[in-house]
Amino acid sequence: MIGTEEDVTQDLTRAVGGEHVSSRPSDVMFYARDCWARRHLMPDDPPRHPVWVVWPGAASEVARVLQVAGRHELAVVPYGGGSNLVGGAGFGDDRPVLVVDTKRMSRVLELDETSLIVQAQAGITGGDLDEYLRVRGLFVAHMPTSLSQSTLGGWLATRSAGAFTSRYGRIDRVCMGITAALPDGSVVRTRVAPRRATGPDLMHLFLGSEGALGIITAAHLKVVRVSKVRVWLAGGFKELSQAVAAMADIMSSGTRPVVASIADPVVALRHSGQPSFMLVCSFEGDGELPVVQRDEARLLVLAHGGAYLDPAAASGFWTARRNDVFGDIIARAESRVIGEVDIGADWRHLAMVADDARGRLESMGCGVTMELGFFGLEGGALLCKWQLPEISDPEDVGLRQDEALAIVLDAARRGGGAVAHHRGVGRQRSAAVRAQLGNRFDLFADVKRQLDPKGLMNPWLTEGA
Amino acid sequence: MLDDFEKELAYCAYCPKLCRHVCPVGNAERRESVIPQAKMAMGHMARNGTVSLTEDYASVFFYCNGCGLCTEFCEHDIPVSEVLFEARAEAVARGVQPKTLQNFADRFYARNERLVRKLHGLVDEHYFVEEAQVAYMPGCDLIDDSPDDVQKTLDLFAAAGVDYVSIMESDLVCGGYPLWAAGYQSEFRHVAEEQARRLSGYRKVILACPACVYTIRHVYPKFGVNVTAEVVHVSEFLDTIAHRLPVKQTVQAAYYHDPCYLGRWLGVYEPPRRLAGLVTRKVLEFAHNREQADCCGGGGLVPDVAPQTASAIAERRLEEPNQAGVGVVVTACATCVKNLGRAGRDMEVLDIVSLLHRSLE
Ligand SMILES: Cc1cc2nc3c(=O)[nH]c(=O)nc-3n(C[C@H](O)[C@H](O)[C@H](O)COP(=O)(O)OP(=O)(O)OC[C@H]3O[C@@H](n4cnc5c(N)ncnc54)[C@H](O)[C@@H]3O)c2cc1C
Ligand code: SF4
Ligand code: SF4
Repeated sequence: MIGTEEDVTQDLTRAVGGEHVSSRPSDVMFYARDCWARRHLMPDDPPRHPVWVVWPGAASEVARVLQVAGRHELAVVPYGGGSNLVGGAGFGDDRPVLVVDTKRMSRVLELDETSLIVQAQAGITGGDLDEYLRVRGLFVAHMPTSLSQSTLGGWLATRSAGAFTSRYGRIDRVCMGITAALPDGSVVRTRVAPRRATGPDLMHLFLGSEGALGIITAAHLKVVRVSKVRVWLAGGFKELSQAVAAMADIMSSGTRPVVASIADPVVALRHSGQPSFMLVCSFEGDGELPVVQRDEARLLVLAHGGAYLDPAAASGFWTARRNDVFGDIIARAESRVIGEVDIGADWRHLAMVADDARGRLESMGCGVTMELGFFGLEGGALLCKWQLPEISDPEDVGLRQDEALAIVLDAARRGGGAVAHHRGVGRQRSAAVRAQLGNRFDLFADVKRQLDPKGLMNPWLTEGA
Repeated sequence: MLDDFEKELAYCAYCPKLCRHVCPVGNAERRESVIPQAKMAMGHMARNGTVSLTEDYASVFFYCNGCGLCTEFCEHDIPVSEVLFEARAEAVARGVQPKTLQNFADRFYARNERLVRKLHGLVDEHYFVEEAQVAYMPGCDLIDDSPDDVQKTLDLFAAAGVDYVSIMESDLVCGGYPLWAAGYQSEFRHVAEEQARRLSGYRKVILACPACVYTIRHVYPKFGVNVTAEVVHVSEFLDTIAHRLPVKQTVQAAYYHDPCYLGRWLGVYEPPRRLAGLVTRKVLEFAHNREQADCCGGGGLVPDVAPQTASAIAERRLEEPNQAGVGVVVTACATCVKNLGRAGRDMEVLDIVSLLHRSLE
């Protein structure tokens, strides 16, 4: 660091105003953690705290903050809702850390109800954005389960996916342009038109960059009109491969489900009374169309050997997902060790990857549940959750957790899939991602060096590169 | 004792911030340290010794309106504010409460004395009848900040032909909620015991302050203090005599704001709405109403600890009527009137009692 802590505090105060800078221990300690169960959610105090937190109110203030960081050679970590599950809030080296909390940048800047595009500041929470749109008969075409806990900037920075991804695409399809403050203190805007062929698109470089290249301060997103009709489809299958094949056909048939998921037999049993893999879809729109689409999809379920189940099982499964998260809290508070990870694979490999991961986790003695979802035309995600068997030596817990995680990531690799589908990389998976990307990762590190020669921004992604 | 809440603290500490979006204080401050999960995690760490409480660490416990929105949202029904008030007591016991709450009990008693005198100056002495069966207890914020509403309430009783309600003759005008919320538990217990003796001299007591109705009905018993009198909120009582109130509709449109303690904590939603409907052509609902109603920012002593935060919460609550161009917000709590009123500028924020009184024929 160049200068003293007091110098930095003074400069930050000039950049954003004294009431928007804090070094209070009670503040900084909560910015050293996020929702990564492995370390940050743990109620023990993480060892390293940032020194400052700032709350800028606009892109220009973010730029000024980054200039201060550059002048003093600090490490900078952006922070949205801190809802990421992968350890995005950590820091790699010994430099004093400055956290930039984006949540004061929480305004909707523009809504174009004709083109159905909204522009909002990056610190707006999904819940606030959704509420703003709902009263106008619209909603944001991105609906992660963590909608109310996460921010627009966080979605973009992690390349996230949501419940309606099967219909509207992941955040990289929903986003149409961004404004970002770069490490040199300049501000860049990428949106020139809804669709463009104006060379490589800088926006896509920032999507998934997890704070390593700069700070996203605003974005344009597609919005959707709320539809009048929603119908559900539930189908039961003996084999996961049958359910996956049926879903692949549904996704390519043009029936365009909004919610699309495949639930594990243990979960399905609770809702349908049948211990089978349960395919769940919702079809939404106006008039007859959703019913026609549902009927078309139902034929595909039957064609793949599935049984038609009561649609209430599908809607019940969907609403109960919230309770699963509350259930995990009990498990964690009771010191049961659970872990979860999202990986991606194409249709051809999805069932195989799932069976592979399940088999190996079960042979470790883990209880396993899986959900397949977030589908696109080419494949989808596998959300794999496990509970470790009781471990007598607490020292072993970390090792066994690593082992379980490695099994699932290896299954993804063996099936040619991605070791992270939508929750980002964080500390949890930086080594695995680096290994998977190989020399492509070095290319990314080169880009980072160009944009961020002093290495100010969230350094973990390129640590050791 | 925080040990009594081991499970609650652990659940929140391990929760992935699920209720953060409903917390008025978290939303106004945008600091991670004051979302419900973090405040509870601090309690958890204080309990298990990971942190030793300093004034700074303990400050987060005082950033809570006691609104109950987190509890309403939580599948585990964690009573966050109750736990945080307990954590405040821990802070007080260690002398690390916020500066603005130091010597709070002395100030409570001094204010009480002042308000007892003020009350006697507000209404005629004939309203204080020793042998009465049914008493009216206006409460501190009403006497202090909406003093006219005391006489207006008595006028409404009279207009409905109710002549048996006297004002509670007491040297204590408060049920003790501020002491409980400040973490001054031994002083709170003392006030509760004293007040219970006085209240139990009546068959029924009508209170204007929802927080004190809640405190007397639900917190006193937790401190081993029981009250034999039936304790009701003034809106509940007025609702039972509303058919005899000679009022007419004089207001075009008004939003009804649910006070947190009256609504979420006591479950009283309809009586004040019915009363407002007697005199208002259109009683408008906030998008977040009843169980989901947003807080005004005035509860839990947040205005004492973080006045700007309390104002920001109130401003946010008033955005909706402002945008709708409706200039009247009615509620049923003097603390809400005070806090919303301060932020209201061009908005008229008034108690249901005031609204009814204005419409007396
Ligand atoms: C209960 C629960 C359910 C979840 N469900 C989903 C789901 O359905 N789909 C899904 O994709 N994820 C899900 N997640 C994970 C998480 O919500 C997402 O990763 C989300 O996108 C993170 O947003 P955030 O605002 O909380 O970001 P944070 O956690 O604050 O940050 C995430 C990363 O992005 C960086 N960052 C944050 N803001 C910016 C910015 N403005 N500019 C640059 N970098 C930034 C941070 O430095 C960090 O590296 C879930 C999490 C929880 C707890
Ligand atoms: S009250 Fe419930 S939802 Fe809120 S932090 Fe605690 S456990 Fe989570
Ligand atoms: S009771 Fe209200 S103010 Fe207190 S933590 Fe819960 S939501 Fe926040």
